[in-house]
Amino acid sequence: MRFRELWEHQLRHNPVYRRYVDQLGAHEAADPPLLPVEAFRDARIYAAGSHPPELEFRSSGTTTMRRSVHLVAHADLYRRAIRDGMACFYDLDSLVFGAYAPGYDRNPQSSLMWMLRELVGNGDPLNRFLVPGDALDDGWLAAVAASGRRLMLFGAAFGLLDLAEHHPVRLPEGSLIMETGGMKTHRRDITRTDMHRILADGFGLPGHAIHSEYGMTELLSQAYDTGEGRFRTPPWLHVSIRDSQDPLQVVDLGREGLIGIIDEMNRWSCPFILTGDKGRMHPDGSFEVLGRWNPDQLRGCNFMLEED
Amino acid sequence: MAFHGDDVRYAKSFVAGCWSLVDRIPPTTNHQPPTALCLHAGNLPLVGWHDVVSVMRAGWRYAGKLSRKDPHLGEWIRSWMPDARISADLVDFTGLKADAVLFSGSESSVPAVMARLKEIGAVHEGTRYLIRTAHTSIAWVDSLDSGTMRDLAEGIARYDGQGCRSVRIMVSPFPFAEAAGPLGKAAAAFADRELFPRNRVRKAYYETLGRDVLPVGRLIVTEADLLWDDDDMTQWTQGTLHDVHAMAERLGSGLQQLYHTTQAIDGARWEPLADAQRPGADWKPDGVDTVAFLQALG
Repeated sequence: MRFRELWEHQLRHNPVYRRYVDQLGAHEAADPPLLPVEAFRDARIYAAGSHPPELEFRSSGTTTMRRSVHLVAHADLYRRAIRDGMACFYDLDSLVFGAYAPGYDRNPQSSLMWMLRELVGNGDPLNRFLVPGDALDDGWLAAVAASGRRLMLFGAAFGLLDLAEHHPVRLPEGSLIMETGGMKTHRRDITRTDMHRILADGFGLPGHAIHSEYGMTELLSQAYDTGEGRFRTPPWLHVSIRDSQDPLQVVDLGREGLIGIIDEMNRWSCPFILTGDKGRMHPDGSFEVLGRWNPDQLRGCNFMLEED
Repeated sequence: MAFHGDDVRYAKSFVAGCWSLVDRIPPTTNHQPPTALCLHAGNLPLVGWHDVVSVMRAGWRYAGKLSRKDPHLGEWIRSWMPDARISADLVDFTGLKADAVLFSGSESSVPAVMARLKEIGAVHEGTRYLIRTAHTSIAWVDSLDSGTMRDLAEGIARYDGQGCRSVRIMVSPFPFAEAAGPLGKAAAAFADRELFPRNRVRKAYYETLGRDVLPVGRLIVTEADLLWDDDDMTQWTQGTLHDVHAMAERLGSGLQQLYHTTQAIDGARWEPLADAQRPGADWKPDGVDTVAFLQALG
């Protein structure tokens, strides 16, 4: 069985996961059962024994909301997941990083902010955090263009959209936008296609220069859409699409379902995660993210054209 | 997924009991009545018969896109209106140019449905739509007596909880720990139904967290506070009538019905819990009177 050692580690060191597998009666299952992602909100998920967590990430949300907590035993592991993961898809030495994340800077425990600080703070003087609400600095853009490297403008989707709409600018040729999602949190209703079109128009870039990152507080690793509309993963991040009616089962290629994840970098918290996101897998191993799963579709007099 | 045999018998028996109402519908005097196209879902047996009856009561001509999942509604319509235009294929309504479209569905399905209807000419520019999207009903449970518990188990588990009138949220002055025994006893009527696989997983998850979980038919009931955000589960919340109203407000257009138990409560959405799975012919889905809606159009 794949992931045997990782599974056994979880059963030994993660009491919540152990209880979950006990309750499912799934010790003999062919694959490790995936723990609902909200376990990071509802319980303490940690599998590093007495080693104290070096980082504690919290999801965004209001003060009255219960928020997910990801206890990270080893900061270096997250650092590696970020850099090695991106390096699977990009030549990091050829990139200048700009980060634009208004709102996230109010959450000192944001995993996204930690990631951006890691990328921007790599010692390259051209890298920078952009000032929320301000237009991009023409001098900086000229310096990036003169450096012969590519600008990667990284940020939450809603912030980048605001920037594109209020301060449109033509970025240097070859620049990339990396949007990290987050629209749902900010209640802005827009399709991903429309969002990417606005970003491309607002930054003077072709559509294929708008890339996306799929990650979450509960994961140390990320998947990337490098402009093709589908996400791909580094070798240690494994995605499957699960039957929403029976999340222990994987659906056929091309069918929609819940996105299931095994993130080997999550060894010290929980690598086996059932997300609340809807997705679809393609034969080449890439996958689409189709938004949040809506349980209301399971109830009521639903007329679903595509299925009926 | 096939319907449970008991649910089919229950639905047929209930609708058969409404024949007298159907017989009382006067024949239309309009020689060229407008046409209503009903898009029927297939989540419960005979779901949508209200719309059929409403179209007839309004004096309109009925056309119905049936669900392949529900063969029973088609049988019923054929037995009553042998000439009705019905089909399980939307394409069979090409060029219909219906004057009104009635359907119930999730909000996310609405744009695709409307686009498809326009594409095949099933509607025209002036077609009016009655779209119902409510999906959740709440019961105010002020007694744990056996009759109330029987009605509650029926409200939760009949049709495997898949109807918009099914009880998903219970608010009660009693704690779940006190209610679980009597409700569990009443739920024995549905004991031959296995949990939905997704609920087996949720049950394991809740038990992992130390929550009490009660299987009721294919569903599970668990205690939750007012702000719980697991919309997929059936929840018991200890609270007051004020909390019922707060939850209803929070659900907004997602609210279908409110049910009372021992004390009748007046209000547009309130009905007796005993009627949860037996909606009268004058039921107003999403609070809209279908007959009045059609009559106002012509």
